[in-house]
Order: sequence, then structure tokens, then C-alpha cells
Amino acid sequence: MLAERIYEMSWRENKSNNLQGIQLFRNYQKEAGNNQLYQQLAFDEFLLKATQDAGKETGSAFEDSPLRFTVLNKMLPVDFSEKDILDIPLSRKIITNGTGYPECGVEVSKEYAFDHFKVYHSQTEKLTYIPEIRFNKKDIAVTIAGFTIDGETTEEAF
Amino acid sequence: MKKLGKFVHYDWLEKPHVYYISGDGDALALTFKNGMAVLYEYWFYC
Repeated sequence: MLAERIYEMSWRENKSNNLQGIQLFRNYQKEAGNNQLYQQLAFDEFLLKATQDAGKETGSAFEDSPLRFTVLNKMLPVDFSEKDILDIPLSRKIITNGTGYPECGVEVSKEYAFDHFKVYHSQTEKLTYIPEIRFNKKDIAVTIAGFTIDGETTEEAF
Repeated sequence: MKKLGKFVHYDWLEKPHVYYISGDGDALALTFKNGMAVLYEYWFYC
């Protein structure tokens, strides 16, 4: 029953109701003496409150602040190209025309596979992007809306 | 989370510690393990 309740709250769009629901549920658990469950749900309440508070903000931080990548302490240009990737002083494996996997209609002409991340380049779309990073300390970082995430970023800080 | 909260989705039951941020025709996912960031994934969706 609890699992169903949390699941229901997790997908509902109306986050103000979600927050109210989990606060009521936590208070009930506290009054019932179930302190362990009361503490376990604290993070859920925090998440819902944070997302609700952010929703009140106007504008779009995501659009105003596009993704930026930093490799070995050097930030790539916003619209980095294949040349910028080739300039990265790390060993890589180049897979040309790979296995023909289209990315939802975007043909991937080349894959540059580094130890901890890979880069897709589409010749037809003139598009170069990073589909995957396995964070390793501070080797590579991604900055989202001014917040930088690398292998030493904690979930709590995020 | 404070800046992008309205774009962030998560399913705490099915995939705890994974956060999805939706863009315009694209999306990314951030995965944390043992409290630390471990994986970034980005893709276009149809």
C-alpha cells in the first residue's frame, strides 16, 4: 500500500498535491510512532518541495543556460564540433559508421569512444553531441543551468 | 534541482536516484550511486 502511494505521488503532475499528501502521510506516521518510515520519507518530501519551489520561477534556466562540457578542466564551446572533440588530448577509439544505429532519425556517422564518455557525430545533421558520460572524478564535467556535475558531485548537492 | 525543478522528473520507486531533465525534443538522465554522480545519458526522443 505504501509503495502504491509513493508511486502514485511520483508520477502525478500536480506537485502541490503531492507535497501536501506526503506531508500528511509523514505526519500520520510520526503520530503513529513509526519514526523510521517518517525519516525515510524526508527525502521524498524535500524533492517534491524543491521541484514545486522551482516551478514558481519564471523563465527557463535550461534554455538560457545550455549544457556545457568541461574535459580536463577545459570547457568545450557551446556548439562544439568534431574538431573540438579531436583536439581533446585523451586516447580514443573511433568507430566509423558504427552499427548503423540511428538516434531517433539522427544518423550517427562516427562514434568517438573515450574511456569515460563517448561522442556521437552525425555528418548528415552536422551534429556532434555527447550521449553518455561515466563520471570519473573531475576528468569530465557537465554544467547544467550553472550547476556543474562531475564524479565528485553528491546527490545531496544536486 | 532548485533551478530546473520544473523540468526534472523522477520515479523514486522504479528508478531511485535517477533524475530526468526534458528539453525540446531531447532529454538527459543523471544517475547517482552511493550518493555520488556516476552516469550522464543524453538522447533525442521521437
